Amino acid sequence: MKDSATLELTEGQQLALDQLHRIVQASHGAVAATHVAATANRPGYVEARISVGCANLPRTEGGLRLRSVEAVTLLIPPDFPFRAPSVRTRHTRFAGAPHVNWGRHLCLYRSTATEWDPADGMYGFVNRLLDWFEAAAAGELDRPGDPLHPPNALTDHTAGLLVIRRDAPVALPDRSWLGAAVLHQVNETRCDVVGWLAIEDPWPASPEQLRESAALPADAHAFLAPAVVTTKHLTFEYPLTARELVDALARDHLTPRLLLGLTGIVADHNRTLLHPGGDAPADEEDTPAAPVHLLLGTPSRGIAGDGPRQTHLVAWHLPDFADRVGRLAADTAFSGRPQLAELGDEVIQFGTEWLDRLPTRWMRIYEARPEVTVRRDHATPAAWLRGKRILVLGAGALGAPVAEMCARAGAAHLTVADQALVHPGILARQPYTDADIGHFKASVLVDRLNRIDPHTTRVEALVGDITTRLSGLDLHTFDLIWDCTANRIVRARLERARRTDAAPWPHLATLMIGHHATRGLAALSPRGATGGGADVLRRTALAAHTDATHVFDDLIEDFFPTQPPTELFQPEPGCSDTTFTGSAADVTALAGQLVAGILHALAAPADRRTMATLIVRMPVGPTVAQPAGPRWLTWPDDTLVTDEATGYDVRITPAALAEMRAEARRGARVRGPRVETGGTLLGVVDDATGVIFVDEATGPPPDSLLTEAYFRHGLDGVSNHLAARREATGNLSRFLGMWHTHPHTAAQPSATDRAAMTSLTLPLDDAPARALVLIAGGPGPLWRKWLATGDGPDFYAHLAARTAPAATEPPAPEVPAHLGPVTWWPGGYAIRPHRSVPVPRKGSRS
Amino acid sequence: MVETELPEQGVVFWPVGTGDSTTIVLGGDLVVQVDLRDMKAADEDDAVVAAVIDRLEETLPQPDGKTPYLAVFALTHADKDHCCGFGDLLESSILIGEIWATPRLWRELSEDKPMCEDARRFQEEVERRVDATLQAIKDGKEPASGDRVRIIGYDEDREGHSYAQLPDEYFTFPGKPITTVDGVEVSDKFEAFVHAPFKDDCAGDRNDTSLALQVQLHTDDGTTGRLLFLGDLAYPTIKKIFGYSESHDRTDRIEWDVLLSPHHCSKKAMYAKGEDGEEELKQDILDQLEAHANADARVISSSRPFRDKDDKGNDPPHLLARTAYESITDYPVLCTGEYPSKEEPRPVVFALEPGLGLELVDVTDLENKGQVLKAAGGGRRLLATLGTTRFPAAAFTAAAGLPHQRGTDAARAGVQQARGDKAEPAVQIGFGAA
Repeated sequence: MKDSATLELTEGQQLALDQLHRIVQASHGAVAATHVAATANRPGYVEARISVGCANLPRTEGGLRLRSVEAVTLLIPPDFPFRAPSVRTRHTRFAGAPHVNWGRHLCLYRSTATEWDPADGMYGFVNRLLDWFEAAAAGELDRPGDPLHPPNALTDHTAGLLVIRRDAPVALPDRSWLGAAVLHQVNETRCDVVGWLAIEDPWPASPEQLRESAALPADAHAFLAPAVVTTKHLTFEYPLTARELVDALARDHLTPRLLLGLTGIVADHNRTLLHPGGDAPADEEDTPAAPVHLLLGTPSRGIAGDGPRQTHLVAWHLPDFADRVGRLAADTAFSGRPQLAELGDEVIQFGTEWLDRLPTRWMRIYEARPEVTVRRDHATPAAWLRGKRILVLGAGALGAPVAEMCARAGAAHLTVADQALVHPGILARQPYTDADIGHFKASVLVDRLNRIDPHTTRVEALVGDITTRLSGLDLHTFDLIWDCTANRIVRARLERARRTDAAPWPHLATLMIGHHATRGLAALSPRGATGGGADVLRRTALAAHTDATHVFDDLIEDFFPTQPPTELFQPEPGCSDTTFTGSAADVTALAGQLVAGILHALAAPADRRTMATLIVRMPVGPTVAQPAGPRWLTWPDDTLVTDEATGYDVRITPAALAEMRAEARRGARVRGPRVETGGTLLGVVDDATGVIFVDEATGPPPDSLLTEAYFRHGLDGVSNHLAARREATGNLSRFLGMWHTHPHTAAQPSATDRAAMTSLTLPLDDAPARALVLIAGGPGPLWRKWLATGDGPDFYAHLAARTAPAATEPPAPEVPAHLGPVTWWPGGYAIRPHRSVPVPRKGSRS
Repeated sequence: MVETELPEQGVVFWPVGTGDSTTIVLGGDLVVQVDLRDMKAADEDDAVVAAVIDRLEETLPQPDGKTPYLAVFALTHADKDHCCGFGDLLESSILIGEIWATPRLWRELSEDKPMCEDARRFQEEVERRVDATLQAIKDGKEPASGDRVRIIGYDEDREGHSYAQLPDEYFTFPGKPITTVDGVEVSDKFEAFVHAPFKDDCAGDRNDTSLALQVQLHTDDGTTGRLLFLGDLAYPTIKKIFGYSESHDRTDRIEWDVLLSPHHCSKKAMYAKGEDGEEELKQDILDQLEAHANADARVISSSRPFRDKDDKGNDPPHLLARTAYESITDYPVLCTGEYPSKEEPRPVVFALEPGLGLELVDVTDLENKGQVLKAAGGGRRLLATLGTTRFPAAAFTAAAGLPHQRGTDAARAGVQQARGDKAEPAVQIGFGAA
């Protein structure tokens, strides 16, 4: 390495060279360093030439062909290691490969902010360089996630900013692409490229057509800009003079004549578009109808010889005079009139000389082209939201952040429904501002969200009472509904509407946060699941209550208290609604976790999505025991039966069904295949949603009487069992009715069954006013299949309601006389029939 | 990596201490040797140098099935470090088809300048060939391979010597290319453009009358490799060469991919006395060299390893020169005495890769290829075999074997070691107040 004593080195540069020197010494010739000098054109920079042995890297198809030793120049900034060095080559052999900018600059870091470790300095840098060479040789330089960018110093911010939104055209192998870019003028300095028109295509004839072609709103200001895409890679480094650029383009047969002609044709077309009917004021002949941005594309991306290359774009802002010269050229040299040809040549000659003297003003370019950019959220669950139609109910502490997350994720359409107004109290934790006070939350939020990505996401407000406004929406057009209302009424309405809808609903996610915003719940009802939000939350409550380890006790208190909380926070004295406390940090964090969880679940394959609830808790201080981490509960679908009497859904949990089947199988084995059996059902009837929840089933009590044609449900132990279950479930699950089987025959009530429905609901003591009678049955093959494989039997369900007057006597619990002499079995776990024992006479509770 | 592909054309720079010995493989049976320094004769203390003749004798093609054939031997000038061992070469079984010589030796003989034994043998051989050629011409025949000679350059005293009677076709003057070797027209794969000796320098120091050549090797696909041989020329003559070619619009003749640094990496190539009589760096020649260098150009120092610092009066190689060359190329100067290591040098082999140009072939790569290519014919075998020559030093190196491969894995290991990832104390260390 050259003695660098004569160089002015900063402390950082000295460190860099020392580290480099150590690497060279330790690498036995595999890394060599030679020349160290001040960098021309980069004040303060020091360059060091190093060469790296690459002899071990096999040559691959599609990989870069490396020399056995590769030399590069490191440019070490004065503020090393707080700025990463950069690296360039003298040759242009790597031009066109991914992560090579401008033919010579190797791009080692996508983001130095996260990838460059100042502490690791040159060690990390050289490793990164080795990574680059290895990937290059293997042809594994992936496509850059970030757009290529020119050295910032060389772009001229006063020249304006272009955001490229549409995939760019590519040249044919033997012919450059000529045409125009459709520009949407967003503000004074910024234009978005929203479309491309090839010269041979028909061009829009009116501003309306132009906007329509680019899907722009009616008030958008749009115009055309000349654009060329070359067939060959240009290795110039952002030429500072137009002459260099023009020379480089001429090698691709893009002569000044063509450039001027194209500029003129586009300028003419802009005039036609923007001043229809030739109403351009005569004195504005010198003023262009639109700024002249010349877009220049080169086939710079992709690996040489490997598949199609993508277009790298730069834009050159030309003075207004270009508009005039261009139009002159177009009107003479390209007029097709021979008498103007000579004048045309003069104009071209004049224009070329003018171009030659022009400095280049490179515009800043921000890439938003799908073909060259990768969304930052592409590998996250939020990617599911892209292009989706989303309904968000509620625009409060949960709804507002949830809606924003959907908008940022690129949902195509978002509807936000809320009827509330912004008032001062909510600003502490909801994303509204002082100026919004008194306005509808939904409207204010939608205005803001519409500004996030107007080219992708359209957001609509639905102001009004959600429960009534919902009927005006076709919910089936949505992909996902977020219920962020934390409102039982909304939940019940949704459950009922979902249940009674003939077509399946979209996914429904019901979000809740606890009273102090320390816990959150998200209940997911995927499309086609048997239960909606109210159902899944009820399951959650049941699971929380019945969990023997008590890990959910905090949830019970927060979300499913058996006693209503007594200390309710009243933020605004006199206000009748109790509400919640918690900070913006709390609610936003909970919303984020819940949304991420739900999206994870939705990203699963359709056949693996189940009803599920995510439980999250906020962290506490470092000296306090931390709450448990996120936890999912999941449930398979219920078996659905429609109640004959009410039309309600009877939702039989897999657990209840399994219990019934176990008892039926045991009966078939012990008592014979045709002996009926049955037992008690636990659950609840929800008249608001029209759902009868069958949570559990039990077998026949020991004093039951089981025969082939008759099943009498006993009472021994039933009362105690019900009490125990009520206690265990926080009274969520209680006596619901009785089930029995009709082995090998239809699941239809007999006359005896009908009579039993009346008896069951007789107004005696604590007897229920309503009870579900559930009959499982079915023809022989079906029945045997259920016992063997679990494939459901036929069910008959009837919610019997009390009809008998108050004074009705209970029926005699006799075995119906018409049955004649039968073999009967007791319930419980008896394994022998009772032939000679009289039928028990216990008819009422003992 | 074992690839059996090795190009047919290339060049081998032998580790012969501070001296030149270069073998250019043209493909087919054609091999050109520029200068010679054979280890057996070199007798340089503790220098690890190659027994070039023995190796050539073993490996040169044998078109007739028994005689090793060297198409051309070119001598840049008659210094010992460029022709040492020529006598042995003559006595070996090798047939030298044609000899390229400058008129300088005749002048030196007539001026009775001191000349080494090998230079004398060379001069005698050239004179024999001049006579044989004249005889053949008299007989109306082409001179036979083995009798051919080409005189390169002009000397004012030529009329006093027999070679002056040779017809023009046996002469080449500066500014002209040579495209035949030993009577075979090879312009599709080889051209040697003569830059020097200049007529005006014919009476100067011997070094200043060195033959200077730009050799171009061409592949079938149009890839060209450019080698620049500047003998032992110093700044003024080199400057003249570049100036001429620039002003005569033939800059393609001074372009270079590989430069054999003049005079074994002597600082005289770019340092010369300024107006004040002090030696100064001549940036102009460096700028010219850089302007005509390929982006991947490399400089060879055919010399013993570099010393740690230059002392006044040191012979080449000079660190000053190395630093100067490294300021104009991206790659380190490649010293034949240090490649791949001082302890165990190997010939430096550049192969002409289609589509890429002259490419340094890694030693381990050559070793692998050498095995595979033993059976192959032509230039491939030659490059591989010559490149894997081991020298006596290797025999007494305890851990003789494959040199380290210079790959990214070795570089990575270097980074790791430099960073101290796996550092641990190597010896027991005592502490205490005592």
